[in-house]
Amino acid sequence: METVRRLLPKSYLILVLLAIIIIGTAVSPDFLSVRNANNVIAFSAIVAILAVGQFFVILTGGIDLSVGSILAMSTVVSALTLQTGMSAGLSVAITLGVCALAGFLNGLMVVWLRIPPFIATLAMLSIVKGFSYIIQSTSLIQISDTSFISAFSSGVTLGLRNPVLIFILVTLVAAFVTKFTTMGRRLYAIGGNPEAARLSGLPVHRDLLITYTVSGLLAGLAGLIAAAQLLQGSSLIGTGYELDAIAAVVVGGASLMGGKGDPISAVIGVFILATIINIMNLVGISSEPQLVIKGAVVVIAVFLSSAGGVQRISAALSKAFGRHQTTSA
Amino acid sequence: MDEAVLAQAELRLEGITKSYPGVQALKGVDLSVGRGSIHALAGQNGAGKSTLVKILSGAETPDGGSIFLGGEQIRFRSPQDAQQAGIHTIYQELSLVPSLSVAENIFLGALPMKGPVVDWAAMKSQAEAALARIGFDLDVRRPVSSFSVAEQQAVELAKALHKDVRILLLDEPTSTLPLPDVARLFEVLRGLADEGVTLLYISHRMDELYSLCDSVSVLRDGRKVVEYTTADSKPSDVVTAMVGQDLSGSLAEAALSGERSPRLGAGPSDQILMSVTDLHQDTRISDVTFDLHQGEVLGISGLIGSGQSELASLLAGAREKTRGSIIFEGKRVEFRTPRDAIRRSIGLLPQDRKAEGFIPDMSVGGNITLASLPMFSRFSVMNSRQEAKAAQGLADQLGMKISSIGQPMKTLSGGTQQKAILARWLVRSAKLLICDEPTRGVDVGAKEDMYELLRDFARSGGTVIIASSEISEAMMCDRVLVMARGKVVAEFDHDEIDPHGQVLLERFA
Repeated sequence: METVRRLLPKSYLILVLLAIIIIGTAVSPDFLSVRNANNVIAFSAIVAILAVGQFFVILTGGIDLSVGSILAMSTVVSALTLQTGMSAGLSVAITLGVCALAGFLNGLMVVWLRIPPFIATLAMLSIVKGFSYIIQSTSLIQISDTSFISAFSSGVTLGLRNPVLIFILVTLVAAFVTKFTTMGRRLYAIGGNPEAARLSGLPVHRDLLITYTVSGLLAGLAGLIAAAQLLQGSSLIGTGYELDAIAAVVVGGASLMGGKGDPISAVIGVFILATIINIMNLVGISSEPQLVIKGAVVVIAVFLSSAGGVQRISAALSKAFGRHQTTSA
Repeated sequence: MDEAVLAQAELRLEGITKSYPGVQALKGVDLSVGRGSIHALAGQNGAGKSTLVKILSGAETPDGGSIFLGGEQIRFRSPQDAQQAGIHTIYQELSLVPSLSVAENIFLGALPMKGPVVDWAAMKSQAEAALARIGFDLDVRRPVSSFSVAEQQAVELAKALHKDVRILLLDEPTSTLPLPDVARLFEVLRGLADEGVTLLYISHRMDELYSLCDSVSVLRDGRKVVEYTTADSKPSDVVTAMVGQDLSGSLAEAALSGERSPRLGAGPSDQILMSVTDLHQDTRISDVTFDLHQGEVLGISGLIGSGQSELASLLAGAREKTRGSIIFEGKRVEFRTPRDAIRRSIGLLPQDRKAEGFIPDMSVGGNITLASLPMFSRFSVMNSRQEAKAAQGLADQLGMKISSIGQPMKTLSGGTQQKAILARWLVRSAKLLICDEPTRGVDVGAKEDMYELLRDFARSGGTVIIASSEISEAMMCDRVLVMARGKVVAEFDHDEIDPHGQVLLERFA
């Protein structure tokens, strides 16, 4: 029971998601269809995987701006290697290796060169983007390897489409790591107070390197799904995805100061944002106002969760209406 | 108190109450302070001193009661209101902007203007005048960060004084000051009182209260329990009133009243645990050589900034030495990170608990087991039950006041937090505890607990190093090294130290 309770994310997030689903059902008859649900989930799988990697980085008090670029690099590298006639398995291994390496370099910049994560990963965003563009050399590369497409897009395992299965597995593993392993405990400590973590003998540098490497690796994995869905590799894929992932993580209640949050909430954050976009698409709101609404949703969500908005509103209400109780106490 | 005194009271509080969600911090406090007098507020942490200061400085509004200034009832909505009325506050933590100049800091928020631009010349001369009033002569154009803590405190005072000040609230202003500067500050404060400024002084240090203040009010659990004039009472009266029970014969009592302290340690053995030779670290520490015996409680004493804190963190691997050798249990060791020292069973209680000691949002249990996660895991998967059992056991053993081991660390009092950090090292059976100012910001009762716990640790065969700027703490050790400017300048056995620690003070530079 205790275990179940600890795994559950903040309950209000689920309420918010339910409220959005109810609104969606009310405003559009197409919303609550299997087809639409599949669309939302398939679209969300990519950002959800990015968000899990981003969550770990944010948990340590850092940020990873390079994940959108690494995702693009992943599509390019996998498309290129598949084009040479390489087997899908080897192509995937190479792609993930390259992406993990980019993440590892992020970690090295943060740990060794002591460059703030924002700057280090911003530089990596540019480097990786340029690199993918150079190796791509044409406008886009088609992917036709059926086993690759089946593994990351169209295939079904245990009744679930593969991308969905992958993101559920990633999320569950991440939830397990944060709650039940020493690594998870150490990351909360590093984000909560890095100096206290160091003085308690935690391997802070090693853990940060692992975290940035994992973020790169997961961005690579998300890229494989994107490549298989779009049937191509291109350095233009994934632009701005890092911001979607960061927004989802903070909507999920994590603090950019580090030390707070959990991966399941981050993934629910992804679904909250994705569902709102989906509803707006269904009722025919064009993409420009969508951006405005999306931004407003992030502000409201973060105010309510991280900035203590719920407490502040209830304090203001009790001050206005409950004054007599406090003075008589 | 007679009518005449009441009539001329500069500051009078009547039935001040204040509650926060879950606690009533003040339960009706009456207070009356005469013009030009220095009145002390004493009390343990949580007694309501800070809340009272916040109310007087306008940072909080009271739920009930009234405040009179010079006989007139006043009501503040913000700190600006209080300052307008002439009530200024000097907080424990200085509220200066380090990168701005002294003059800019003094006039922050109200820079003298000449038309649309800042009048730098006027600002400079007025800032110098404000500093001269308290006997300081600083280059007011230099940034505040380039001055010592004492000088920064003077800037803080000048900042309050250049405005019309009637009441000055001082919340533990000496907690970061070296001893000679404390004397100087007191001279300044007495001078202000002679000029007719009324001072409300808060400190945990009884010797200071008794050397500076005219009278003292003791708060306990949100009430004023007693008021003494310092001429007709002694520190132990105040301490007894603060704690609400008789402390006579305890370590804290002895420490507070300056009697010869009982030892913390059971006495050293012949066996050498750690041998330090010719230790250097940049310019902060030089030529430090000593042997530490098994079971010994070694004090490293000195004024703040004399190197005792740096030496403590160096021995715990938190800093890297530039030269010298450390031999621990017969083996030469190199501590590059705290991890290296922890592997040798050395634990550090850092000086700045909040910044270095604990993870604020993590549970007490998580903070206790932080340095020994491998003990509570198998293949990296935590064994929560085993962890909870160990943490609960230590919380009970150390008498920690917590609702459960799941309570977030940041919600605990300073003393309980310190116990949790101690527990972190006890859980992995540390052999050597290095305590850097172990009772800073901890109230009297918790101090006593802390000494008792260290004594238990020493009795069970543990070895302790206490780096401290408190004479009373040094006097509890088996042996004391006195540091000045990064060097060990003297060494005393417990029995060589007189009851007032005068021999130690003489070697402080």
